[in-house]
Amino acid sequence: MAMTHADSVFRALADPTRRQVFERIAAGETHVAALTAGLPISQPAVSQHLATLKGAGLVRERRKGRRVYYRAEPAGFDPLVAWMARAGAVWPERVERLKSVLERMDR
Amino acid sequence: MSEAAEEFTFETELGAPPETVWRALVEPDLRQAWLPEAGEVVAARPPDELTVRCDGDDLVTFTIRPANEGARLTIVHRREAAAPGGLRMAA
Repeated sequence: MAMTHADSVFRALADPTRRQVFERIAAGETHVAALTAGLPISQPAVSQHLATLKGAGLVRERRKGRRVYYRAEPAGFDPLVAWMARAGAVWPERVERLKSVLERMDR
Repeated sequence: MSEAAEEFTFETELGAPPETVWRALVEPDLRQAWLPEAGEVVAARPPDELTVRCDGDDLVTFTIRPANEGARLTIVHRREAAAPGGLRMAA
């Protein structure tokens, strides 16, 4: 359900290095070697992060020749957006405005 | 991979009679004052159920029931996964 999807997205983005990997992918499709080049961690560590990001639905991979390319999954943030609607003040705020309208109608 | 739509339910008690709440929902000028994000009315079943487009392609259904202090309003907000116009990552 939505709660489970949001959990894995939150966990995936909690790690600062993994978040950095994701941000680079979001900036443009790339591959493991290119990602590893700019980071102070090993390629296996990058691959592990990629597996976590993929598991959380944040990135998708495709094979091109001998390389695997990663790009951001457009729907990846959807569980976060849904969580924000649930946890945030969106509907409570609207209901407060409704109450004001109802009060004005009463006069 | 396709994802199911997500649904979020919010309930509140209002100190106004159900018919007043209905008006605030169904009359465009009144609704605009508290829900400017609402789009077209998709379904209306007077006097207690209304469905509108909201926040783009989402569907929101309002149901009014009588309650001690006036009315109980149930709001079901249904988001379609990966709807265009939702939060987008870099292209």
